[in-house]
Amino acid sequence: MAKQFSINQIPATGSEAIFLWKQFMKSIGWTVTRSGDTFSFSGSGDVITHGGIGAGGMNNTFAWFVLQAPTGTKQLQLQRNVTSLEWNVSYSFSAGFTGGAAAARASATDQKTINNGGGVGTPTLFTTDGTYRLHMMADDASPYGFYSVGIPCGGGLPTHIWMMDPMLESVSGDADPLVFYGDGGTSATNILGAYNAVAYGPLGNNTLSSVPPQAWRNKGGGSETFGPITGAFPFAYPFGTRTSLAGAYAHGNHLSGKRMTFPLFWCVPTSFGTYPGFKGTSSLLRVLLNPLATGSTLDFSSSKDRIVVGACTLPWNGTDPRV
Amino acid sequence: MSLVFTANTTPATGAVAIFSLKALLKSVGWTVPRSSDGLTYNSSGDQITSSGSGAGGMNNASAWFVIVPPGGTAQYCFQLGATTSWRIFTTRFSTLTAGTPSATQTPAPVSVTDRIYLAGGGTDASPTFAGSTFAADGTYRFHAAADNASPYGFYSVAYAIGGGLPSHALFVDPLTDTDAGDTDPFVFYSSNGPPGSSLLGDLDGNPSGSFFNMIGAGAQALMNNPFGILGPAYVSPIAIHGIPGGTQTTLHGQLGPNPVNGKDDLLPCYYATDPTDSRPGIKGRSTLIRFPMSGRTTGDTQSVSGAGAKDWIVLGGSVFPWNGSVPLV
Repeated sequence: MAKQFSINQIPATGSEAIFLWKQFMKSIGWTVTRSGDTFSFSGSGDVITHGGIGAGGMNNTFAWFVLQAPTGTKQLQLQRNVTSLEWNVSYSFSAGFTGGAAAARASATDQKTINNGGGVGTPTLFTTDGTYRLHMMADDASPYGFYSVGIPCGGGLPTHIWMMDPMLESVSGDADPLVFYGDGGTSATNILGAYNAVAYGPLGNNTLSSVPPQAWRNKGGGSETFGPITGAFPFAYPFGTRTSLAGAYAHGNHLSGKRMTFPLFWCVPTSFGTYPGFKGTSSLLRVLLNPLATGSTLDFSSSKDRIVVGACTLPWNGTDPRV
Repeated sequence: MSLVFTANTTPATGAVAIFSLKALLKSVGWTVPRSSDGLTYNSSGDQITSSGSGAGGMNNASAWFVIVPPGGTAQYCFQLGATTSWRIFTTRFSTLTAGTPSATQTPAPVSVTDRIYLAGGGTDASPTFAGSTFAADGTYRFHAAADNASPYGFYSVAYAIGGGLPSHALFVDPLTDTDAGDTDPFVFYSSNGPPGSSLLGDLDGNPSGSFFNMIGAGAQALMNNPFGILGPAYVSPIAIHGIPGGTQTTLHGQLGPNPVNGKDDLLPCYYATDPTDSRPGIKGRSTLIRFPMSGRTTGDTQSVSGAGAKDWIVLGGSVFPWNGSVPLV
């Protein structure tokens, strides 16, 4: 298992960002099982060869592709909507996507929507073209977790997140210990939150976005449900006063001076109605406990192996990210 | 690592409880290098042979013993004031071989600054005792567990006969997921207050004023940085909140058994200092304590490793490892 990175890119459009992500995922073993560039269709391969418009272009309205994990049956489908900022993102646990046409995406009997770009709530996956740097990480071994994150050029809170987060310490019997999250736009604190100890974004508050993180609950059991899930955040009660620990420590750990993070636990609260319970511990996200700006790096297990994104941190490759 | 239990007892006095804890610790390899029954000082072994009064008894005023886990550098000292009132302290890197120990006086650490009081205080010559290490004699059930391998964590806990929130809790909690610079990855705690939610919390959905409010009240750890600045800091377990539907809520005791497997889910317990403390930071992850996500009452069990395993016991707002039996309530 090794984390592979593709970082510091400034895609011209959201379509180019998705194209870059597709190529990156293919480079570590994922395959495109079917696709359409609006002009042509393949039921067995990848017709999308660049991030622009025209034949083979990702930036054609309703262009789409299905990407399958190197092993297993999991498939992800992404389709461009009427703008390059809006994407329909869906997931098939095992049935697989079938059908499709040049400008019509495929379908799967078990497909679930992660981001209905341009649909209900008109969620987007990206902000204004050319305004952000794209950083991507993907694990080249099972369970193939990945993220793609956009950070404004010049700094600021993240404007794009697309991730598949495998659980650490998942619940035994959970057939699909993954959390999916695809969101973007200009309402930056509503994507990965901020460290101001209140706004955790949809990670913790599902009302802040029409596309909160989602996961299967009771997969394989009776009445399985795919729906929103919430990240849990650390609090302390010094002297009886509730205090969020997110961004609360002005300095690094007294023991070593290191900046601090805390595990992010995924849970389905009872107020979500169906199948409440503990999903697991994120393998990608850790809560930031120091007040650091997005794009900063932390030393967790090694030098600069985490990058700050909003209220959280993600794995990083040891370099200084461009901001 | 395997926990050994002394469970489901109803000690007549606090002296009986601590005597049984001493016996449990000795059974997993701890030793008593010096002690006193309040009448006779023994500089080379365990003078306390019974839980009662008189010669060899634990239940004599000022009786004390030093007890040491195999390997390591920490030492612990217990001294009786009254059966409900104790003086308990630990050293982390020094032996308790200095001072002028006697039949009624505990020894001092070789390094005078290396002493952390878990209960009571004062001086060796003029000790003070915690008011409520135990509830009234004969009113509680008592359980204890000790690891028979390094790093030798242990706990003892009591709650009222018939049920109720804990009335006594004492533990030495070895940590994992600690900072690389941590040379003493342990948290120590002795409850020294009246029975209730302040000891180990409860599952009332609002952890303020409970176990999560230990700052200045209980759990301690060394936050000694690599530059040798020693001294105990108060640490608190970290509570876990979600904001479902826009409403911030604690998740402790709020989720119920997991729908995937029907088992009770437990959240890990991490300790941290107050962010405003002069020694800020995360101390580490508990190996003894977890937090239940199902609402249960003290003395109930939770089955995590398998259906009916009863491998955790609910104690206030927390759960501790358990031996699979049905706890006496």
